[in-house]
Amino acid sequence: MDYNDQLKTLSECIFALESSSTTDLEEILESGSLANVQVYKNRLIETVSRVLRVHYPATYLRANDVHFKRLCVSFIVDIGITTYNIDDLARRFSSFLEETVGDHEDELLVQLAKIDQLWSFASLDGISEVTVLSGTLYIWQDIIANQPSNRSFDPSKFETIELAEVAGEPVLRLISSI
Amino acid sequence: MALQFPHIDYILKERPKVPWFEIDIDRFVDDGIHHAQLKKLRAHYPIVFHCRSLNLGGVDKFPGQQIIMYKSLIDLYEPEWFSDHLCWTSFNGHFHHDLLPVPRTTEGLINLTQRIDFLQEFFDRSLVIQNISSYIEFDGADFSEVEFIKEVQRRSGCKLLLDISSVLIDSKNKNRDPNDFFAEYPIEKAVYGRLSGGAFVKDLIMDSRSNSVNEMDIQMYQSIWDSGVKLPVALTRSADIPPFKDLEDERQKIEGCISGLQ
Repeated sequence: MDYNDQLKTLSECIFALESSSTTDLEEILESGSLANVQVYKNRLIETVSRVLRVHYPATYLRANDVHFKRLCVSFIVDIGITTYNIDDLARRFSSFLEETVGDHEDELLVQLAKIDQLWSFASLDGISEVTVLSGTLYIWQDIIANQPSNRSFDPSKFETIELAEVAGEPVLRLISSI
Repeated sequence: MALQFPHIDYILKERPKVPWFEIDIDRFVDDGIHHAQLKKLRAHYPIVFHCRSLNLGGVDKFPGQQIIMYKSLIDLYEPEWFSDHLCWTSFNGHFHHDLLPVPRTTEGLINLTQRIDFLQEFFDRSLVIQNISSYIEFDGADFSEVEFIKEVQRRSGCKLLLDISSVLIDSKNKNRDPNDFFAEYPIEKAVYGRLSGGAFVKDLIMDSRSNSVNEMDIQMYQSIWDSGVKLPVALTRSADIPPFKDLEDERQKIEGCISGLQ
C-alpha cells in the first residue's frame, strides 16, 4: 500500500468513530497498535465536544454529558470536519440538531441550541435575533442560571429573541411573540 | 514559556522576567484585540512561533490563504523561529485536530522533505521540526524514528525542536529505552526543546500537556544540559492551565535545576 493509501486508510478509520472494525488497519499498522486507534477517535470526540460545550452551554446542560457526546459523534460523522477552525464548525451544530430532530427526539434541545448559537456567535456573525418556540428563552435562562426549571415551551407559538447590550453587557430579550 | 491567552493581561501588566515566549500562531490568524496584545508583548520579549496546522506529512495541497497569512505574521512579528510537528493533521480536506504519525518509509521521507523545502522557500527561512509522541506504529517502516528525523533534517536543512517529554512518553508507551533516542538524536541541529506534563489514561500516558513537568523529564533535560548542550526549552501547558504565577514558579524551578541552584 502506498503512502497516500496508508494515510487515507487511517484517516477514514478514525473518522468512522463508531465502527470498531480493524480489517483495513491490519494492512497498515503493527498488530500491537490496532486497539490504540481508539485513542485518536476519543481525542477527536473530546476536542470537538469541548468546543461545542463552550458555545452551546444550555444545550450541553440539558443533554447531560453522555448524551451530548453521542450528539457530537453523530455531528462529526454526519458533517465531517472540513475546517481547521472548530469554532467555525460549531456554528453548524444548531442546524444539525434541527435537521436530525427525528433521530434524537428532543425538540427542546433544538430550541435551546438556537439561543446558544445566538448567544455565542451573534456579535461575530452580525446576527442579532432568532425565532424559537414560545417559552424557550425562560427555560434557557433557568438552565444557564443553574436553576431547576419546571417551565415548558408551547409548540404552537413562536417568539423572537434578540441579543442586545444593556450597560455594556450582552443580554437576551424577548421582542415579539406570535 | 508557551504563551496562554488567559495570562496575556497579567504578563503585559507585571512584565515577569521570562526569557522568551512561544506563540501558538494558529490562534492569531484571525483579526482581533489579541494582535494588539501580541504587539505589546513582542515589544518586551523575544518570541518564537509554533503551530500544528501545516500538515507537513500530509498530501493535501497547502491552503494558500493560510500560509500567506503565516508569512505576513512572520514579517510583522519577526519571530526567532517558526516550528511545526513531524506529523500529518488532515487528509482529503478532513481535519483530525490531532498530530498523527508519519509512515517512516522512503516515500514518506520524500513527501515530507519536499513539503518542508517548499515552505522554507516560501517563508524564506528555516522551519523548525518537532518530534511527536504517538500511540500507533505503521507496519513496514524503513527507518527508526530518530533515523527518520535525521534524514529529514539532512535533506531539508531544517532545524529541530526536541520535545523531551514527548520522547519520554512515547518510550514509556511503546516500552522502549528513551536513551536510544537521545543517543542518536542530532542535538546540534536543535534550536530549542520542550517540556510538559502528560496524563495517564488507562495504561497509556497521553501527551496532554495538562500537568506539571515530570521529574524524570527535568532530569533528562539536566543531563542534556550537563553534557554541554545549552538547549533552551519552552515550558508548555495547553490544558488545565494554572495561574501564570504557578507556571512561572515551575519555570524557575527548572531553570534552577540546570543552573545548579536547586
